[in-house]
Amino acid sequence: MEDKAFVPQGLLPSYLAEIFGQLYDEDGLVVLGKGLQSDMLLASLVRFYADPEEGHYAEEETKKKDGKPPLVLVLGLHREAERTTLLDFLTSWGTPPEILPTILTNEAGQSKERAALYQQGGVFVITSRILIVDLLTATIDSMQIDGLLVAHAEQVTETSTEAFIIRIIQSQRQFQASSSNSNGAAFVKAISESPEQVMSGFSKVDKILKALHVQRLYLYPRFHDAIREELEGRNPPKVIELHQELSPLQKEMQQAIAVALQTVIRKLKESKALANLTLLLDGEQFTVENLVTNPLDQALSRNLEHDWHRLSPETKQLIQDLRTLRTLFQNLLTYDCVSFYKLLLSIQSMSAASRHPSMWLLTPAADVLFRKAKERLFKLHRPLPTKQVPNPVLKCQPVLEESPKWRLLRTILSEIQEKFEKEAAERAAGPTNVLILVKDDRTLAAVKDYLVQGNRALLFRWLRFLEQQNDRSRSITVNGGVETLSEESRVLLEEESRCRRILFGDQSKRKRRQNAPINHIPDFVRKRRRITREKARGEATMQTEDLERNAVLDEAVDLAEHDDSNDLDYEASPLNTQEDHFTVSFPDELRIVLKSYASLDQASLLLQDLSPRYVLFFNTDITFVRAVEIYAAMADVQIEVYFLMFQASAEDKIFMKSLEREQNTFERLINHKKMMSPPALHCATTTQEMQHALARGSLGGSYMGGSLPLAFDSRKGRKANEEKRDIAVDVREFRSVLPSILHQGGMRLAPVTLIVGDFVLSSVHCVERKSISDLFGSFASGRLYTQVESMVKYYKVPCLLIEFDPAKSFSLQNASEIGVEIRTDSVCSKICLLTMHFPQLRILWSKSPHDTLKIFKDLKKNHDEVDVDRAMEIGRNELEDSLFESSSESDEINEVARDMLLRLPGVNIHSARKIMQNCDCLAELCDMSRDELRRVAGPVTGQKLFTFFRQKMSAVNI
Amino acid sequence: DHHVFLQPQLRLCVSTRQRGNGILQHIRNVPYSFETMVPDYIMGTQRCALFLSCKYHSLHPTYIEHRTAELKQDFALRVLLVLVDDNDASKTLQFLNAFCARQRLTMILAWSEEEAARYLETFQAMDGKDASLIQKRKDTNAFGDQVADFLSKASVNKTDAAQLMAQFSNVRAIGQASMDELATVSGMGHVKVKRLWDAFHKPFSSEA
Repeated sequence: MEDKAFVPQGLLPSYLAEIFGQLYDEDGLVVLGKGLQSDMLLASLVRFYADPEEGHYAEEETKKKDGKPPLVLVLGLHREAERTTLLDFLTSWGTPPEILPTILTNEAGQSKERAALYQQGGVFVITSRILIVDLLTATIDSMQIDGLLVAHAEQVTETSTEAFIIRIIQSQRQFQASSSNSNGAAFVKAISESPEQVMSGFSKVDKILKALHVQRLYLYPRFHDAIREELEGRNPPKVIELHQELSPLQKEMQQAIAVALQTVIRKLKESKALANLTLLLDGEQFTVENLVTNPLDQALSRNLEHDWHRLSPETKQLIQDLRTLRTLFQNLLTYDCVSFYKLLLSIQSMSAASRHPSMWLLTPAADVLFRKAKERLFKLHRPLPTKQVPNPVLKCQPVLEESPKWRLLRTILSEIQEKFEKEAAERAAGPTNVLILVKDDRTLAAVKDYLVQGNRALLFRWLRFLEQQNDRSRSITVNGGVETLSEESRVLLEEESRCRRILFGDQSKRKRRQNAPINHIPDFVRKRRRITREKARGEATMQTEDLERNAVLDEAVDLAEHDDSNDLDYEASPLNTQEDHFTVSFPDELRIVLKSYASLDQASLLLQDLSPRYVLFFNTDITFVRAVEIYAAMADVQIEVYFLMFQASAEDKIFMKSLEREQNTFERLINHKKMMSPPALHCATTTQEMQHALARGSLGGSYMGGSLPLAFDSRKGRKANEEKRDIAVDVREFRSVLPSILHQGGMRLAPVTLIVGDFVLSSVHCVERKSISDLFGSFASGRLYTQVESMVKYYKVPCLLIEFDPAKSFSLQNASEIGVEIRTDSVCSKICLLTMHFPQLRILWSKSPHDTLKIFKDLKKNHDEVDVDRAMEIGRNELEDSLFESSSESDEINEVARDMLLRLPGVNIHSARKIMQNCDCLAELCDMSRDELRRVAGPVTGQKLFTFFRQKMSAVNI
Repeated sequence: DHHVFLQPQLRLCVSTRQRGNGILQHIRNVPYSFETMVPDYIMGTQRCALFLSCKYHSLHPTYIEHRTAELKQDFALRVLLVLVDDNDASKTLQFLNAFCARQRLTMILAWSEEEAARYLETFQAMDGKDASLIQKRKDTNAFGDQVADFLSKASVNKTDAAQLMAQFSNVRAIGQASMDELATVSGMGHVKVKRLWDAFHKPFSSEA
């Protein structure tokens, strides 16, 4: 197809070029296998529509009267990293900066400026929330929009904002088209890389297609012929899979975690907390293996989201424990022994400081887990008493088990180095790159430390760990003397100084951090104690013990110092400094680059820049495996790929399961596609204006500028007998389904920032909407009380709308929750109190958003329309509220921080306001002195805050 | 004439008309007595309730309008206690929502007789109570829960919170830590670190 000429030639894998052609021909949804470069496809589409020279515009120029570039909107790029990736792709293809897409996110300017930008045309990457507001306020005109590119299409559901947007645009355009001869629907090209999400739930894919207003479904699994040919035909990488066994201790720990997990599952089943929970748990899938390979705990939480408030704290804790244990499975494989033990200890101390401790910590399995984790660090043993030493002291022998995979990695690297040296003659000049891909920054740091410093790195961690542990021991000795310490703590105290001596040599004085803890013991005290302790012991033991220990550690240091991989050049640079690689001329050398998936949103650009000869997957990840395959096919170079996997571990299983799952999903999707009838695309929504206009046979006249007034226009007078349809909606409510349904029901929405209430229906009706979980949450936080308080102040008929989820049972509490006695914390009591204190408050009960629409219509009857300007003005003076309520787009800077502020002990809306006036950010607040805190937050709260910020988590002794 | 009942009542007053209502057998936590009066129930001071079952309403749609009209304007809080005993109560509820908004009635739904009884009991028992129960958060949580709660707002889960506290020892130190320092904590990936750091360091509002 000739269109392909507009795709940057040779930069797309041929299967993407094929998809591109198909999408260009006919709108549709493309579902790709994970990692098959959907972002590259999106970038090529953007480039095509943005480029006036060779792209879309050149061809269509004759059709466009005004000579402006087409207005194309990109939806669904929620994360900043994704937007950056898009720009990176475009830049790497030499796209001129002036036609790069404009990014409109929350921080973007005012609506007037945006209107001017839209007028100029071009490609915009925009958030749904801005676009929906702009559409409803006629800041953007549907008729101007040429098309939409939708990324992450799996998130588009019938009730999502994206669906709302598409419905408005398409119905307006179609309506216009039917009455005049202008162009019809805007194009919609949607992309998803999450087949599982597309296929989840009952006929979800049909719903997505319908919401997107497209008919075609294009499926491109990894096993698609075009893709297989591309990736396996020409130049498949040479793959070497290495399976590493777990160490015996790791195996035992893995077993222990599994047992603990089983216990938690059993407890959950016994709790019989909720019908749907029990149903979930009884499902066959709820096994340890599935829990490890699927984020089932997430599915569980998602499933229980609406009933979350009904679960007892104990049940919630159990679900939390499931998550903890699942991550422990993975952490066992990725953490070094010291960090893993520290992790266990921190979990234990957190649990001890909670009101509902984790029960699994008390099981024998946990005991095994902790014991084995400790055995990986050090062993304690007491020599048999002899005649010379009748009471031998406990001895500590560091073990510091290294991860078996590290050693494997080093072996591979030396093999590569050997090969590298052998091939020296045939090789072209320049560096040979080895890319090591690891899971996250933490693993990256650990691997890097190991490669550079060998076991010394672990020794450093060990020392740091000892310091931390011993700080606590020292604080005890201040009060009670050495005798109050357990023998083990004493041994560890000695171990610390020995460890330090080995790492820094004898002459180095113990260097403490500058901000020494309060309970720091002066040097001389410590010295004296050590002397007395040493005196107490036999001279002979002292020496042999010292020698032994030194031997173990010296070996470790020795290994580190004579580490041949030290000659290699290690580097772990962030992606944006990649230019550095090419500004310097490199000698022939083996260069090793470490990267983590977490810091890398897109592997293909890195691969292009680095052109590695070897790729080592320290952790496996489908997305990146495929990126390497695609790179190999595109670049036409021979790559050797190594997989380093733990045998019979969570890692192994997760990878295999995810491949299997993806394949199954695609097979189901393919079957579904065969039987699926393409969704009908007529727009069911014609608003009453449209009908009126049609009846009158005119369009332009009565409506400003010819644009269709689906949107609200407050400037216009209305006839008295016209049905009342205007509703002022707080912009934050656009996160929910309701505005979309109201709009569908013929309401006209004015998206504004409301300080009081969520919806203002008339001059007297103001509505605060609460879903069931919101209701419980805002009762608990006290927020509802404040909200009702201000509604009551300004509106004659303040309403609390309790909106149920139509998918859940229509009741506030079930019989067992009512109980025999009046409980002050029950929802009954809270509703009673609320109505007693605000007798003017009306409670509206709605079974579903559709019912809400009916209720709103009823309420609006016989009342004046809402005065939007007044509604926006109301409550402006109530500054303590506006600080939290106002969220004009520019003021959304740090909603998170404000939420956190309100969670601090003693802080209420009033003190929060004062705090925000007196300090800029949370970091500043944390650092304030007691007096400053008392000044900004009041004496009581100030004291609470001071304690909260500086209190230590009382640690559990090892 | 129900003006005598506008004085504080020590017991829940039940209209003689409510004799035989199934919900009465579930009132056990407060004393009650039958009286001849206009509303169905009087709970404490200035508060009354009318009782309506959805089934009854669909049979006698005008009943509630008469009853409401009789009430006149004598009570500060006028509760319409509705027993949802009809599987398809949508229509009824839709009518009642609008009706209550018009008639200055506060509608409360109960899905069982027990629940309806509990509302009446609670109104009576809570007479004279202040709103502190729904006004303030409880600060009585254990320290660990407080920290977890605080950090959860920055999308930090409990395990991560535990590790952060283990590494930095207190909240203040977490707030002062650099992104690199935060990244050294197990489980804290790129995205999480950025989010947490932003929460601490970005200003509360742009105006400041």
